[in-house]
Amino acid sequence: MKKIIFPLLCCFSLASCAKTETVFEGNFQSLFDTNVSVRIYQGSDENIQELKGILSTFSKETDNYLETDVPGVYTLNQSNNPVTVSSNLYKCLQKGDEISKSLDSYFSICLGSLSKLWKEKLPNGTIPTTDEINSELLKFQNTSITFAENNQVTRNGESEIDLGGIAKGYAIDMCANYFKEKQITQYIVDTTSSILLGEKPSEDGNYIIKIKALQNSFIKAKNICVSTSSIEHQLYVVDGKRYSHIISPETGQAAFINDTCIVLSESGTLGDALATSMMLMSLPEIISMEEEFNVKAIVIRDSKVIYQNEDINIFHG
Amino acid sequence: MMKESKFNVHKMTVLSILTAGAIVIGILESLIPSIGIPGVKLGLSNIVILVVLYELGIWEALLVSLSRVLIVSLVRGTFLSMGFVMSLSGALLSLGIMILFFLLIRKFSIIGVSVIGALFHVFGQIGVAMIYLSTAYVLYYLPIIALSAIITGVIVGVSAQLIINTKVISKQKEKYKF
Amino acid sequence: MDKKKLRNDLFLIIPLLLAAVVALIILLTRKTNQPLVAKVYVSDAIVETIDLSDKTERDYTIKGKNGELVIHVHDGKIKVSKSNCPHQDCVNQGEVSDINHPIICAYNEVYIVINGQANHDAEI
Repeated sequence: MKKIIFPLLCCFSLASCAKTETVFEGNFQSLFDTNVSVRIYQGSDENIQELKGILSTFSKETDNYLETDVPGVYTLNQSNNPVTVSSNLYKCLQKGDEISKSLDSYFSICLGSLSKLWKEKLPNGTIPTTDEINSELLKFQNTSITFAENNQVTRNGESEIDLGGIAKGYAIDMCANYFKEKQITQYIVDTTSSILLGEKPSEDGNYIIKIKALQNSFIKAKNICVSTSSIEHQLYVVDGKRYSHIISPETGQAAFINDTCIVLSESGTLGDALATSMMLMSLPEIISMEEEFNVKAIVIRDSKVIYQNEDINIFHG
Repeated sequence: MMKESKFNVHKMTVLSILTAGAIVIGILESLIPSIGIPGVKLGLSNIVILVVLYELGIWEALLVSLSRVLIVSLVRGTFLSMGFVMSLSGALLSLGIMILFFLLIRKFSIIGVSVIGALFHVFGQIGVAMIYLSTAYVLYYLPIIALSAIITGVIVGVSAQLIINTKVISKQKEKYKF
Repeated sequence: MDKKKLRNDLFLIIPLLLAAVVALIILLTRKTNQPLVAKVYVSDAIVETIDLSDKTERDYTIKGKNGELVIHVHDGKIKVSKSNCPHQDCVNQGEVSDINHPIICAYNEVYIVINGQANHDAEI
């Protein structure tokens, strides 16, 4: 009897030994009070701390120019004189400016004045008047940013800078550079609206990303940035009409055509900006954006997928 | 002089009585509710099948087993339903493995054969349930059902041995030469 | 009775018994700390996902293959309160509230399976 029981018990105990994997995690508040969740499957806890440091430094650098009550909106300089910023902020503004010029009528980082206006009115259940909108729109149209050597930037005009549409994207790009430097390839940085994916230590290396706007649906992805813009993040209903946090540079309205836009791109900054812009775009326009910027998109309205790039698979269950 | 042929009235009578017994057990057993998946039964009629296998032969056991499955399902009104297919597959699988053990692997007593038969009976039933319901969730119930099958198997085996010990059938065999 | 054969029997029966008991223990002690969600399948498609961490009392009517059944959810527990199946096995299962107990209604091909919620890496 002993001859059978002992090996049998050995088998069972071996079988019940769970496979343990190396993982380092960090959860912290950063970037306009967003919860950032970092997971790396290589390196050490030190890497997590270093990354946390990088993100918090960037946060603080931008905070220096923050309007008192509107997160993401910056004055930069009060008197249209050049101001010297940190190199990260400089690069962020440059990238943002570049993207604004490419996405012209859909996205701009100079929309601060309009963002402020809507953020004042909507939480109180009101909407700005046409005059108010037009006045801020004018300010925006007369605002630009100029860049000079030694990290000097000048905001020309009266509208403030709104980095809300690219800040998180830029932050995950910083993370991507950090990982590249440290030769870490298995990571995930989750700020909800911007997710940086490296590889997962599983069979196919894909991360499983659940889509809240759909029922029981998820996508699999790796080595890419996933940016999401959704009315679920911020939605106001005034007089039966729905308003979001996305402002149209053309009309100044807090408009949206689509409910949720998801963009898969190599650059987090670009993805973030595109996801925001696509909320205002029609399907043909979205498809041409995909081609122009070499990204892939998913567009959702009324909890239904009205467009998904042919290379993307949406799984159920 | 007794007819030298395969057909022997006395043998047929004995088989019929035994089959009737198996059927009655089968019907009574079907009244006990099953755990979780409908159709999984205790397998008590195996007492009869075992006795027939040991005392009368393989083909006879097959005959009794199939008759039992068929008639119980006709009586209960479950003919050709999922329950019927489960029962059939369980009976065949169980008998198959018992024949294997009885003929070739002669190392175990009737109790061991009964247990392995009971287990395969249950495997056959659950296997069919999985195919019919196209789901693996049925396997959640396997451990508890297997446990009950093993315990029932022991009881059935012991009972069968006791019946064989009474030599009721052996005496009939001797008397009427079958 | 042949003593040798009986001894061989034990070598057969005891490991099998142990295997079944161990499997049962492993199955029953499966735990998850994640919030639970019940997935209702009809044949092999999920027709309803029920969040069990929502404690409100509610009913769901599910159209199965051969009829309808009513699922009652309350306080993190789920049960089939009404079904048109002949054996009522699913109703007799009573209330279940953990991942080790699925409810199966074979007649209607309805399965209720409880899982931990998060098997995804992130949510957008």
